[in-house]
Amino acid sequence: MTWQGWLQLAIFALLTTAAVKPLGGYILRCVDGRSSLARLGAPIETGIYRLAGIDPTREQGWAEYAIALLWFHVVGIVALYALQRLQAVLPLNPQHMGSVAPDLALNTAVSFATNTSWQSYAGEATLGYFVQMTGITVQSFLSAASGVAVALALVRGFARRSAATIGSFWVDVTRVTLYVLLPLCVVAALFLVWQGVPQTLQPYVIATTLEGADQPIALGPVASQEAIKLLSGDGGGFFNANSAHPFENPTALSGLVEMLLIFLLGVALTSTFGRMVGDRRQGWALYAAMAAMFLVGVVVVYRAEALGNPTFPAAVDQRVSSEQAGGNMEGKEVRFGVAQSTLFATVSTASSDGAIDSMHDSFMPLSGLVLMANMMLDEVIVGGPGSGLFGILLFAIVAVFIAGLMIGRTPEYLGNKIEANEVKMAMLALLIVPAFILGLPAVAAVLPAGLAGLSNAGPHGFSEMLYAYTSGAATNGSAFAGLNADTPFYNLTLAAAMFAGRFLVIVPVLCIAGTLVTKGRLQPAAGAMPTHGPLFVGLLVGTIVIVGGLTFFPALALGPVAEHFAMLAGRVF
Amino acid sequence: MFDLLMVVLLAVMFLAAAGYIRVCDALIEPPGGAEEKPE
Repeated sequence: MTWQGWLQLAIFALLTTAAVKPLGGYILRCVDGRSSLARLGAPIETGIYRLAGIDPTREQGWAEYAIALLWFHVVGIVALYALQRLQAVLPLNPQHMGSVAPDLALNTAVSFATNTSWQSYAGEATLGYFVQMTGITVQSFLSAASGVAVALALVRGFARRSAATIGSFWVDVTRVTLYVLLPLCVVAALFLVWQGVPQTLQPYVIATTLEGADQPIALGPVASQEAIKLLSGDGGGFFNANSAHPFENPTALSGLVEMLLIFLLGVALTSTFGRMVGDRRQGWALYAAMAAMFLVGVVVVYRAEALGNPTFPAAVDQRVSSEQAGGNMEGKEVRFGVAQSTLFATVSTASSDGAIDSMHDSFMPLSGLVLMANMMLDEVIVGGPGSGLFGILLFAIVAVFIAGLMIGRTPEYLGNKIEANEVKMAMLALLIVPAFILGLPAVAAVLPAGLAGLSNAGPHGFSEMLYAYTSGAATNGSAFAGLNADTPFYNLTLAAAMFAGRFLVIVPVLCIAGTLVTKGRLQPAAGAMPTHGPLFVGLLVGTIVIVGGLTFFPALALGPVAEHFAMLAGRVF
Repeated sequence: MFDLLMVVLLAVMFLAAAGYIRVCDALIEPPGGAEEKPE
């Protein structure tokens, strides 16, 4: 562990925290239509509504909001599926990529429409520019916008009193896309082009190697896709190597900015939340809980990687020196080293992004445990745009409910009485993801089709399966690697996990918004627990860790924990 | 043929999610408790 590594973490934490307040306020002004950009774009926005036959003044109840969202994404899945299947006859395909296989096309369509971006394919060898731009990139925008829309709807549930509606899905998605995502992506894409990321429609370049062989150098409209890949919490790379590829992440500065882009909307929405409920301290309390869990995770991963691999003979030098980064460098880019790779991996799994700049499969077992745990905690450590906020609010409901039981008071949060409806829906949302994370690896572990995809035996092989379904159901999309997932079995079961992990969580969240919005505000009572202080932050973190631990520890014990102790005994897989 | 199968699978997922919305709606009790929910 080096001072440069700690300094990098400190700079990242400071820049992230600095962005919370201004961006949170900007998002709120955008969705309210009060920002300068929103006023400037009003004619475009109105034109979109007219073209789509939408009345922007008409708000929706929770069920109508949920059905609109579901239809919106099912149409998106069908569109992306059709684009992949018809790729061979579509333009802007200079490498003449053929049609994508049906099961892979469905997996990819569901993956990007659910903001997961699990990739069972190598981008540069599978998709042409037209599909990348009109299919993958468009779904990255829309899935992120709908995540933010759901979070806004839930916060309206907390903020509004005795109302019947939680907003308009169409207006929320349109404004978030037009005024938040698009401008930020334009700036990010220009920055990435400046750093050396390609943005071209030219065919791949053929280079002649020193041996005289031809080697194609993949190019494409990378910067524009890279920007939304990071900002949307999507994470699907233009290239198979994702952000480890020098054309996706060329410099140390681009690496830092990419990590910031991944966290930007997730952290800023805590501030938007605080403003909408009329008490900014509430937003900071959620941010503090997210930051505490993130920092613990990153320190554990950094330490585990920096210590190196104990199974190596003593003659293998793993120390930091002027000639090497030191530590466990297997699967890591030499130009990034251990510190940056561990920070990127933790950012990627704590958010719902799933972009990678190192091979998570090659991390030490305890690091792999933390990366999986980040995802298993249901996207609450920052999470994706919107999904992180509504994820941690679900746990906040459970936390105040538990606190209410302990002290014998009616649970309340932000002036809302938390009753059976909210607790039932919160538990439903929180149990759906574990059902898929734990159930599907159990099925895969006993079926030949599941076992056929493994590259490793023993607990490491189990970790490969567990990581894949965790990544899918938690809509993260990062891959552990080592698992051959491009088979009909994995493509279809992962598609089901992603669909359920996204929409079967969103429905109860919107239901909670619908029940809360009808309630009147409770007057603050003497003795009520404040939800903006350290006590609540501790209770919230404790609830998340205990619920997550009780749910997932047995599965983790079979995977990374068993592998860790086997490694200490000198056995590797 | 496989395309049709994929469309059927997607339709099943969509119908499951739509049914799930109805289940959630049915699970909600009106203010005051389940016994007061109108028929």
